[in-house]
This record gives sequence, C-alpha cells and structure tokens, in this order.
Amino acid sequence: MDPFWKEKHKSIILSSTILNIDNISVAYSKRINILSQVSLSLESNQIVALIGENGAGKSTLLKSICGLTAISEGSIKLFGRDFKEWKSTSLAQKIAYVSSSENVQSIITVERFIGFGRYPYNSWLISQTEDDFDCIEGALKSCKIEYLRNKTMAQLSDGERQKVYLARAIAQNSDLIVLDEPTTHLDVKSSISMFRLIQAQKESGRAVLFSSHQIEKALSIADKVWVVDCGRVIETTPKDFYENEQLKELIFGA
Amino acid sequence: MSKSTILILLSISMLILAILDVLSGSVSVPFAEFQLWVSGGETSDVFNFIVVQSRIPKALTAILCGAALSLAGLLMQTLFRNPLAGPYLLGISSGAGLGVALLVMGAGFMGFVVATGAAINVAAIIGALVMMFILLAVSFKLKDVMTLLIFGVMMGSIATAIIGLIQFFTSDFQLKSFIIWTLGSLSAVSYVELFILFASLVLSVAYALYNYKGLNAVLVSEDFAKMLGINVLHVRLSIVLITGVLSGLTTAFCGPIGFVGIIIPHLSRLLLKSNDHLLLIPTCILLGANVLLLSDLISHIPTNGKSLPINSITSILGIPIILWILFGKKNISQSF
Repeated sequence: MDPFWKEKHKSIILSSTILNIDNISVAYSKRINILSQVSLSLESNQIVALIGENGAGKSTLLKSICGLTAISEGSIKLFGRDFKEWKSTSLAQKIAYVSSSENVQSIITVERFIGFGRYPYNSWLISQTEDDFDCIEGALKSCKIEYLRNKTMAQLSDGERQKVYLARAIAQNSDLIVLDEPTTHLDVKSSISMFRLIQAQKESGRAVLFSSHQIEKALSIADKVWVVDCGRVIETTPKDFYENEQLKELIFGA
Repeated sequence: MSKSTILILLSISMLILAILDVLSGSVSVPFAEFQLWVSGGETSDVFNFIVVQSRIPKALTAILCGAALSLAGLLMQTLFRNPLAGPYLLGISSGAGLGVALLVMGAGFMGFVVATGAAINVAAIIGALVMMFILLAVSFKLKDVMTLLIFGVMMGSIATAIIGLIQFFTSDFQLKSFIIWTLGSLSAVSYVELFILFASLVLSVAYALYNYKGLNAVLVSEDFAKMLGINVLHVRLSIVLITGVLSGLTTAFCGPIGFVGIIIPHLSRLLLKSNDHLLLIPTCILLGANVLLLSDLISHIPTNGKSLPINSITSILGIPIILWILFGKKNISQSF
C-alpha cells in the first residue's frame, strides 16, 4: 500500500466524519418509500455492518450512499460537502463500491481488473504510473491473491472472485469501501478470510461499510451496526445489539 | 504471439490483400504496370480507367467499410454487453433503407426515375441521420441501456414495415433497383464519398481510443463505471453517435453489409485473448478491413465480367466462421 497514504489524507483523517446522512428517503413511486427519514453518520477508521432481512432496503441504502440511487428527500454529505457538489472522479477517489450483483466472468486478467481501481487517478494513456503499480501490488498482497494475478476472471472460484473485487476496491485507495454482501455464495473458510480482510482495512485508516447475512461473524468485526427494518435504520453497537431483545428478535426471529 | 506482432501482421496482410484486390478482376493488370504507377510513371488510359477510377476506390471502400462496420459493431457489443449486437442493431441501417425506399419508389409514384447514385446516397444518409437523432434524444432520457436497445430494435422494425408497405405498392422496375441496393456493393463509391467516410472513421477511432477506459469499464457494468468516476451518459451518447455515423455512411455508400460488424469483434477478442479496448479497437479495424478485402477478392471469382453481390459473400464466408467458433472449443461468452 502507498506508504504516504496517511500523510496525504491527514487533514481528512483529523476531520474524522466521512459520511453524514441527514434525514434521507428513497422512493420507488410517490407512495412507496424504500427508505424513510434515515439519519446516520460514519467516521473514518470504522467498520460498519449493515444487517436486515431481504428486501429491508440494505442494498438501496448502500446504493444511495454511493450516489447510484437518487434520494427523494434529505441530504448526504461526504466530508462535509453535499454529494451533488462532488466531481465524479473525486467522488471515486473517496468511495469504492462493490455491488452484490457484480459477476465478472470474462477474459480480463485479475491484475488488469484490479487496475480498474486506478481509473479515477489517471487520465487517458497514462495508465501505469509507479504509484498505480504499487497500489495494484499492495492490493494483491493485502488480499493474499498474488498467485491469481495472471488468471482470467472466468477461471476464478466464487471465493477468489470476491477477494479480487475487494482488492479492486482497495486499489482505488478510497477513504470508504462499500461492500454489498461480500460473503454470499462463500463457504465457511472463504467467508472467514473475507471478514479478516475487511477487518484489516482499519489498519490503513479506511472505513468499511458492508452488508451481510452472517450476523455473528459480521458483528464480531464491526464497530457499529446498522439494523435496517422496513425502511428505517437503527444505529447501534454489537454489544448493545446482543443486549437488545427487540433487535435480536427482528433479525433472528422470535 | 505478442499483441503488437498481431497488429503488424494484420497491417501487412491488409496491404497484400489490397494490392491483390487491385490487380485481380475481369481484366488482369500486370504487376509491372502497377509498379510503374506507384513510382509515378506514365501509364495507359486503360490502366487509368480500370485501376485508378474503379479498382483502387473499390479496395479503399472495402478497407474503410470493413473498418467502420467492425468498430461500430464492437462499440454496440460493449454498450449492450451483448455478443449478438452489431452495427445495425439500433435500426440505423433500416432508417437508411427507408430513406432510399422513399426516394426510389416514391419518385416512381410521381412518374420519374431516380437512378443516380448520389441521390440515393443522400437519401440514405438523411434516413440514417434522422434515426440516429431520434435515438440520441431518447438516450438522454433513459436510465437503462436495455430500454434503448428495445427502442432501437422497434424503430428498426417500424422502418422495415414501412419499407414493406412501399414495396407492396410499387412497380417491378423500382422494386428491382431497391433490391439491388439492399444486396450491397463496394463499387461506385466516389473519391469525395471515400474522403467523407475516411474523415468520419479517423475522428471516430480517435474518439473511441480517447475513451477506451470508459469503454472497458462500461463493459463490466454501467454502475461499475459510474463508481470509477466515468461519465456513463457521455460514453453512451458517443457510442450511439459514432455507430450512427459509421453504419449510416457505410449503408448509404455500399448498402447494408451483413456479418462483418458482429463477427469481427469476436474474432479480435479471440485473437488477442483480451478485451482491452486500447488493443481491441485497432485490431478490429485492421481485421475488418482484411475480411472485407478478402470478400471482395472472392466476389471477383466468376470470370464472365460480373462480380457477386458482396453482402452474400460476407454472409457465406461468415457463417462457417460463426459455426466453427460456436461448435469449436473456443467459448464466445468467456472471451467477451
């Protein structure tokens, strides 16, 4: 990883609040709200687990945080500036997103795919500066997938592919990584190593926001938990979550 | 084989095929006279008429059309992430066809005959441009690229349906001249038209290469590209614009030429073993030029002075290749 990462982002790390979600609603049509009046905040160096039933609005929340889904009310501020004021390339330097529907099965090699993470940093032909090379190498190393570098995306197993997606997001060198269900389709061993990789991101000063259905493992690495239920989001900590009977019932059933 | 070797070999074979194409035909031209012409020497009137006025423009047309259709096909396949997409997918060539049908057969209704190539070309260009501007206007509004696909296919069907109606009510003579247009022909493209095609191709290639990162990212998915800071709407509009201009012009000058635009991008990916547009774009262009030159050479085979319609050649040549890929070990979807 870029050794000067913290130096470069010192001012930002000091300011500490990455994301400020103020009273947002997302609507399908005028009548049906997927999310209503959600207010949340996210600080740097934090790992946030997003949990909730299928269809509760987890993916919608993640997408609106990334600016992929329009919000009908409220505002989202990134480092104190409203989303609409951000240029798309500078936004891409702050947030990296891995969608749950991402399924890349093509002849692109792993190394080149991770190189996508450098797109927001370089213009046109200057695609491999030394900095980019270091970032791609660092991402491969931190996910322990150097041995995959010359394989094509079509040759990977589901577990390997998820690690490559994460490595791509790491190479983007953003302050926040948003992962939508990074452990679906993964076996026990792979999902444990995925959670470890997520946890390791704290060391480089990044925040990670991820959704998962593997509640216990997700909560074991999280600093904060966002519980989504019927378009509302309750913010809590793993400890408080286990002490709250109502929340536990919501997630695990009666 | 390294990627740059592939590009160099394709350039050399394009040059060889172009020279063969110029030398072959119903009247054989000695290579010595061709050498004389290349070195700037005095040549006979017959040579000037056959080679300079007819065969060289035809070879250039094959190169430019092959390149233009392949680039347009590649961009369509990338935009829609669909291996069956091609330059005519959005109904732009049907728009050109409607323009020609309205001119050729509409004039017939009013009692005069339109036979000049220039008028037909202008009608085809107008038809293609109208269709393209409708598509551009729609792609501004749409959130989803698949809606654009359905809209384009529907617009093409409407144009084809109107052509059918016009054909039904028209005279035999007019019908035949329209059918001949639909068979496609690389001949009778003037130097001015070639220059227009060349200039649009150069601009399109430059623009596509300038946007190659956007194209690479859009091939993964539109949301993926957006999150890398790429202006997806910009990429989408430029693809519709480039495809519209290139397939509109080639259809106008040569009629609809099938297969090239769909299969060349696939062959290029298989050849390169990569889907990086920085390499794919030049490979597609060179391979497309090669294949259309080869098709033109084959169309010279009958020796009674006539050459076969190019559109049939490309399809007859192309279908075995498609089948070979489909039933062979190579997997199109994994090279995509």
